[in-house]
Amino acid sequence: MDPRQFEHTVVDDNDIHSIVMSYLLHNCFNETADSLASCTGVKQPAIDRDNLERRKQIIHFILERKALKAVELTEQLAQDLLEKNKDLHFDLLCLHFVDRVCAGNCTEALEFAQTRLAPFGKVPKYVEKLEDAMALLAYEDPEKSPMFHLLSSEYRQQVADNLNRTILEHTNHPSYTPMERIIQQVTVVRQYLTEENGKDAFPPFSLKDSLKG
Amino acid sequence: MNSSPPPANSANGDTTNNVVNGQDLNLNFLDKIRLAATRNAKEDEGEDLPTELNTINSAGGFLVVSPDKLSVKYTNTNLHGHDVGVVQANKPAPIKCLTYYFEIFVKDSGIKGQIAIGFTKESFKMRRQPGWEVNSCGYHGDDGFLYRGQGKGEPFGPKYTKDDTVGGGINYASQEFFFTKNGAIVGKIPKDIRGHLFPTVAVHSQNEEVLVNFGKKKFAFDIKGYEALERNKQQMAIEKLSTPPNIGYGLVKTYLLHYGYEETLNAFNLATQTTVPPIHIDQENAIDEDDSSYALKQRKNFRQLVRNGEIDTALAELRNLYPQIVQDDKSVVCFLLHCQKFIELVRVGKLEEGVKYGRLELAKFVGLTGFQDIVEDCFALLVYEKPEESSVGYFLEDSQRELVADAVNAAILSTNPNKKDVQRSCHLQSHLEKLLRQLTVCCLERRSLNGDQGETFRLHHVLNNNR
Repeated sequence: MDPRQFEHTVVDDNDIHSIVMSYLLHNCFNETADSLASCTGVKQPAIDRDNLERRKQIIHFILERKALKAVELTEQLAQDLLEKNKDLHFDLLCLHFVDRVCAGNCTEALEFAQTRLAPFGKVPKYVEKLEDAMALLAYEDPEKSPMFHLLSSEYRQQVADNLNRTILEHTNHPSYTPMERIIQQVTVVRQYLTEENGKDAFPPFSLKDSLKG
Repeated sequence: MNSSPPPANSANGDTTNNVVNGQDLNLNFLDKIRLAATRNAKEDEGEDLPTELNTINSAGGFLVVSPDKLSVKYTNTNLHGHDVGVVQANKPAPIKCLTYYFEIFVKDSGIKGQIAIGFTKESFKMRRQPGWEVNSCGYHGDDGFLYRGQGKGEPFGPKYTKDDTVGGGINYASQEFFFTKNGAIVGKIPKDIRGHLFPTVAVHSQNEEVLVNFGKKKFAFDIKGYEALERNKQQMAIEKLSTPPNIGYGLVKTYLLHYGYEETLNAFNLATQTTVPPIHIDQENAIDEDDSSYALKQRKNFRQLVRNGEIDTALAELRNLYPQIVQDDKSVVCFLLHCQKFIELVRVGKLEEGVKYGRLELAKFVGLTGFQDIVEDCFALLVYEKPEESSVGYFLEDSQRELVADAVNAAILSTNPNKKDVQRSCHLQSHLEKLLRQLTVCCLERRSLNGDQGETFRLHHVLNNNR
C-alpha cells in the first residue's frame, strides 16, 4: 500500500456514483441503474434507451445459447456491423455451432458448419479455431475434450462482451467504461512512476494489493 | 511531497474510538464538505502567456524592436561574439499545459543570416546567441545546428533564411524541445533545463529582421495536430492495457455493499445471476467481499433516517445499537450529526431553536482545528432569508444528508469485530473510492516530479472524455 499523500486527497462522491452508473448502463443493467438512481439521488445520464434494450436482448441471447438469434438482432440493429467485424461474426457463428453440438444435434451442427463456417476456413487466421470447434464433434462428451473452454460460460460472456462493445462503437457510443479507463490509467501511471523514478521510490504496482485492506 | 510514513496504528483492540488512521480518514468527510463549498468556484486562473517582445531587458544598442513589439531588427555592425541582438518574450512559457509553441518569420536575413530561435532563462546574458550559454538552447539559421550550452553546436536540421518560418516549442509530456521549419518538424532534443523558460529570438548581422508570432496569427505548423498525436500516444498506452475480467463486477458489488444500498444490490444480484456466469475471480484479483455485508440492514436503515432528516431518531438509535460510535461526543461522526440537526432546524425556519442547539452541541467544536471553519459556515445559514440560495446553500442540499449518512455508514462498518484495526479503518472508503484517490495522487505525484509541468490532472476530464 502506498500511503504518501493519499489521506489528503478528496474524491467527489458524485464521480464515484457516476462511474458505477456508467458501468451499469454499459452492461445493460438498467433496473439496477434505476435503483441506484433512487438510492443515491444521482441522475442517470441521458442515454439511448432503444440501443440499451437491443444490446440487452442480444447479450441475453448469446448467454442463453441462442447465438443465431443474437446475430439476427444485430443485423437488424446495424446491417453492416458484422460484415465490418468478421472476427466477431465468426465467433458468433462458432458459438451457434457449439450450441448445436451441446444440444446433441450433431447433424444440424455439421450442416451448419459446412454452409456457414466453411467459407471462413479459407482465411488462415480462422483455421485453428475452426478446427478446434470441429474437433468437438469427435467427442461423445464434449465437456471432456481439450476444447472444453469453447463450451464455457466464461467464453460465451467474452463473446457477448465483445459484441456489446462493437455495437456501442458502431453506434457512436464509448465502447469502454470510465471504470475500466480508471483502472488502466492507474496501472499505467504507476508504471511510469516506477520507470521514471526507480523501484525503490515506487514499488511495482499491484491492483490486487491496492484493493485489499 | 510528504515522505514520512503514516502514524503507527494503536495495537490494542480498542473499539470505542477510531484508530489514528481511521480518524484521519474520517476527517476526509469534513474535507468533502469543503469540496462542496468550492464546487462552484472557477477553475484555476490561467497562467500569463507570452504576448510580445520584452523591450526592457533586450540587448539595446544592437537592435531595435518595433513599436508593436512583434518584430526585431539588428541595427549594429557585428564585430564579435558578444554583440548579439537578443530579445526575450515578455513572459515565460506557461507550464501547466501539454506544449508551448511560437514562431518567427525571417523578413530579412541581412548580411550573414545569423538568426536564432530558442529558449533561455531570465538570467541569460543578453549579448550571446541562445544556446551559446548554459541553460539555454537555440536553433541557428546560419548553420542549421542546435546549440545547448556549449560553444560548439551539433548538426540538427536545415539552415534557414529569408522568407522561412521557423518555430520553437516545448513538449512537457516528453520533456523535450522541438523545432519546426515551414510547417514541418525539424527535430527534437531532451529538455534538461529546469524552471521557467523565455521564448527567445536573436539577430546578429546587419539588417537582419525577424517577425515574431506568439499565437495571434495562425501558425505554419499544426501544433494542435502535434498535441493530439502526443495525447494519443499516452492514450494508446492506457488503452492497450488489459484489465482483469469481471473486475468491474467486483468493484460494483463491493461498492453497493459498502454504502449499504440494499435494494440496488438485490437488483444487481438478480441481473447478474442470469447474465454473469459464476464468477471465478482468480485469487490474483479477488476483491475482499467477506465482511462488506456486515450490518447491511442496519446501515440501510440509518441511511434512510438521515436521508429523511430524522437526526434525533438516528442519534437515539445509535446510542442504542452502537454506543461506541457516539460515545466520544467530539468525534467526526457526532459533529456531522449535530451539524445536520442544526441544518434541519434551519431548513424548517426554527431559527431560535437552531441557535440554542448550536450553542449546546456545536460550540464545543469551535476551538478545535479542522472543525471551526465548517461550524462558522453552518452558522452563516442563519443570516439569510433564503439560505438555500446563499453561498452556504450546499448545506441544505440532499448531498449533505448523503455525506452524513456515509459517515454513519462508515462508522458502523468500523465496529465490525471480525476485522483487525487496520482493515477496519480502511473500510471507511469503498475500493472504488480508494482506486480513484490512488489515480489522482499518482497523477499529481508524477506531475510534481516533473517540476509541476504538464497538464493538470482532472478526474472529471477522464470521466467525461471517455472514448
